[in-house]
Amino acid sequence: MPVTDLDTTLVERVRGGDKSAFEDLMLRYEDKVYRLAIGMMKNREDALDAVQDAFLNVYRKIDTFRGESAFSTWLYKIALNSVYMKLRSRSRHEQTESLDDLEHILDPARVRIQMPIRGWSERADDRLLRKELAQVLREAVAALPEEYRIIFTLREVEELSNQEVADILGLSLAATKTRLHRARLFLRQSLSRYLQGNVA
Amino acid sequence: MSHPHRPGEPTCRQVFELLSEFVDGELAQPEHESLSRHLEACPPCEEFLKTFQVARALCRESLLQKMPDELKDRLRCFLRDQIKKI
Repeated sequence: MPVTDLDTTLVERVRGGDKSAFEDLMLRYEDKVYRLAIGMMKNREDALDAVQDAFLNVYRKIDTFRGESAFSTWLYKIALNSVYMKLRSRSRHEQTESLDDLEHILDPARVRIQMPIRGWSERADDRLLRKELAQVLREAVAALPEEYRIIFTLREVEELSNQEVADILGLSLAATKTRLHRARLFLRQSLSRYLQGNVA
Repeated sequence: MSHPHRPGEPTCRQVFELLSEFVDGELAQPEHESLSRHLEACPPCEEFLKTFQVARALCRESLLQKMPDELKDRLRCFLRDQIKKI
């Protein structure tokens, strides 16, 4: 059964009072919602709070889901709202860097394109290095401003389309693509800096 | 980073700016083809594309974590408790 059909069937069952169908929906989406929350909140307990809120709101509001968008789009919107509410209520809505600073770094028009060191892409295949690189990239993703991090997570980790990401965030498709491209360039640059700094 | 390019073909800078749309398959066919031709003829851009893709793949690999089982158990307990009250 296609993903959306299965979601629709489960939603109908939940509306009919079938609590096991809600558990099935949770099973399908809990990892995704958790990744979204932990990516934004960086703390397991805060992320759990946001995930709990998100699923409770999904349950409470399930009758308002009209099927005009995919269930996943609707759920992600609720989850993001829960994440932002938690961030604001705890006054931890910090920018790791000011957006202006990062706009400067991420603006392709200002970036001096550097010739990659030969073998850079091959070095990243080194198994021993991969763990280190994963950590470098996790830190780099965490350094992205929220507006970029959320797009990057939805697009690259959850593999949603640019249009789905734009719909969830209420952004234009062009703005979504621009931010995604800047985030990708920034992360590539972070990896490049690390590898170039480790060249023997 | 630049190499001589034919008139009407993208420069290295343009390739750099269109790379996401290129890898996402969102360029129109003629644009996609001209970028492909540039990449075949320009080793620095070709290597840049490789590293761009490596960074994307490594990011996905490093961020694709599951919710820990202990948190899943707590999530279920919380929701069962809350749903009873609705």
